[in-house]
Amino acid sequence: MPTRSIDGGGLNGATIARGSAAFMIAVYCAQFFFGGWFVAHGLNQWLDFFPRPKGSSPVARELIMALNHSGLFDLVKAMEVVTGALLLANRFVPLAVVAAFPIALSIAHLNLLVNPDITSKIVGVLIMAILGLIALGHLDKFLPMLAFNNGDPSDRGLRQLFGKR
Amino acid sequence: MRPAIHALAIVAGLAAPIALTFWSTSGSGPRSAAQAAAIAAEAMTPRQVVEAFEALAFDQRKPLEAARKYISPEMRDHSQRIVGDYPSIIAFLEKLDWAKEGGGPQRTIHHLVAEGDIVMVHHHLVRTPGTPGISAVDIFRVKDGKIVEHWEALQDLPATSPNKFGAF
Repeated sequence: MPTRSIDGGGLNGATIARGSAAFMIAVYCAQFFFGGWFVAHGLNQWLDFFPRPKGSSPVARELIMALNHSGLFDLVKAMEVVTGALLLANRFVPLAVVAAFPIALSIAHLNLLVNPDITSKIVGVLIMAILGLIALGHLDKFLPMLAFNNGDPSDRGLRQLFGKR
Repeated sequence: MRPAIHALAIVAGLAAPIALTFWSTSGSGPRSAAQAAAIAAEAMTPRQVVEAFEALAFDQRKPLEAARKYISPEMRDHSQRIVGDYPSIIAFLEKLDWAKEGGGPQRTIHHLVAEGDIVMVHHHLVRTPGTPGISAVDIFRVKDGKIVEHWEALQDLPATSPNKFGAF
């Protein structure tokens, strides 16, 4: 397969195949766009630097108001800031993808099934597509979770985490 | 990833969604203020919120449920009978037992006026059957579909009065 040198041999210096390079760039674009999106909209909960979306339908408004009144929206927005920052920092990306998934799913559900306008439909599809692409880019880290026969629980993970074999 | 490319990616990653949001919420964007106003108009108006609160609290005799549904936790109640914050309102309503037969006051609304976020209800309350009851004015401020502030003016009605027009 033909290879291409990006930034002096891959973004981290390695020589990689052309298809793999394109995929890597696409995933990075998705990751930084998604990270910026979550950080900006998460911080906007407290900083108000652009108009806060109040929902594109009466039901969406009710939900957002209920989240605000219950205080749950602060928690959701804090999660957005943390996961978005991790994606922008390019650190703990698989963990950030997993943490962002329920938030993204809620946003997609609201936009696809509740809001009637075409912009909402596009946002609903985009958010899952972008997060899905980032997840695919780190699929190798998720593969151990896809074990059908999971075996017995053990303290192996704890011992690995704390450096004891 | 090299630090310079990483820094550029962070800037671009922040700039792109922010620019998209500014455009979409601008006058020419698909989520403009006009569109938000149209959706808000579809949602409950302050008058509808107060009417729904009054109907659930008085007509269906469920004041606690009405408070939990329509009163904001950030509520400021200026009634001099309670502390005025949300927990004090809930504590006050928990003591009421309007669900039983004949429980709660008999209530007749005489005026209901709404202007902006303020809704005023002028009503006649008879807490003890056979007594003249009170003339009450409740003023509510509504925000985002919830009652956030309340004032009241209560007047005990005398058994006899020289007024030839009556209290209402």
